[in-house]
Amino acid sequence: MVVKRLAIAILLLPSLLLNGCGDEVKVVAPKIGEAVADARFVGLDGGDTSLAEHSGKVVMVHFWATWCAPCRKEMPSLERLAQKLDSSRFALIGVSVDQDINLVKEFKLKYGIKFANHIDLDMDVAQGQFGASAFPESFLIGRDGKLVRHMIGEHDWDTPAMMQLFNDAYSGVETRSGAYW
Amino acid sequence: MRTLLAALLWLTLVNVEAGDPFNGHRIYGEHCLQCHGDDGSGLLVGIPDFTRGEGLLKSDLELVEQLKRGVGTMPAYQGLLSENELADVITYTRTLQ
Repeated sequence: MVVKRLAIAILLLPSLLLNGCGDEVKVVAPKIGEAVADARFVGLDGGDTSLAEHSGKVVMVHFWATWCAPCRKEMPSLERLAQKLDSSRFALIGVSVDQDINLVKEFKLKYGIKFANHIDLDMDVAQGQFGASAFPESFLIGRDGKLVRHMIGEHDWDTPAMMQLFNDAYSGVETRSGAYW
Repeated sequence: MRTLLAALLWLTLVNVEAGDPFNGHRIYGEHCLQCHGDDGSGLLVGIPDFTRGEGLLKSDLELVEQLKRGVGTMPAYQGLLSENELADVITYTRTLQ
């Protein structure tokens, strides 16, 4: 009898464990027009930063990964955007959610990516604070610290329409740039 | 007793293997509907029409890998949706044909 009970317990265990895995706490992403809570980003080479450090600038937080095909594809245009943006008015914070920091460093070297990038190994910031739902995912934050745009998926970042979106965000006016997000 | 054990074993296996179309429907509404449309016919140019089976003539394993890494303009869901959740949404998407 004891053996039979043990057999039942062993058979039930995986089922119970799997069913328990579904009870995850969902984080709600920041909403357009609402203040984004300060977040800290760990630099790839020790250059940590935070949203508060860029207060007064328009900030874009961009979550990506080397294993993400659309992220890799759009990276050159994102680098061109970073070169075009005036660093006294704008800040671009790249955040990789890779689990191997060396892969990110190699990727940056190989493709000549120079804009500031950070690492979020356990997605604590991507999921825990921004509620990222897919990659790439970007959050454009205005000078007042409120969310202006929430962009998911691949984009062509250095188009005139996208530049207008950034400039409009700095001016605090509703954009008519026609850039998609 | 043997029947009971067999039933429990079957239930355990079903939990691991089969996608849940109802949970898949919920996930589809949250992550896919905006581009793929309510009926799966695709709202933008270049998006596969699921009602005709486009993009679905692959194994579930291949589709899970695609969803994890992203393809074309579709973003990547690795680390954000579990493999079971991806299997659920694939199961639901197959019902749109």
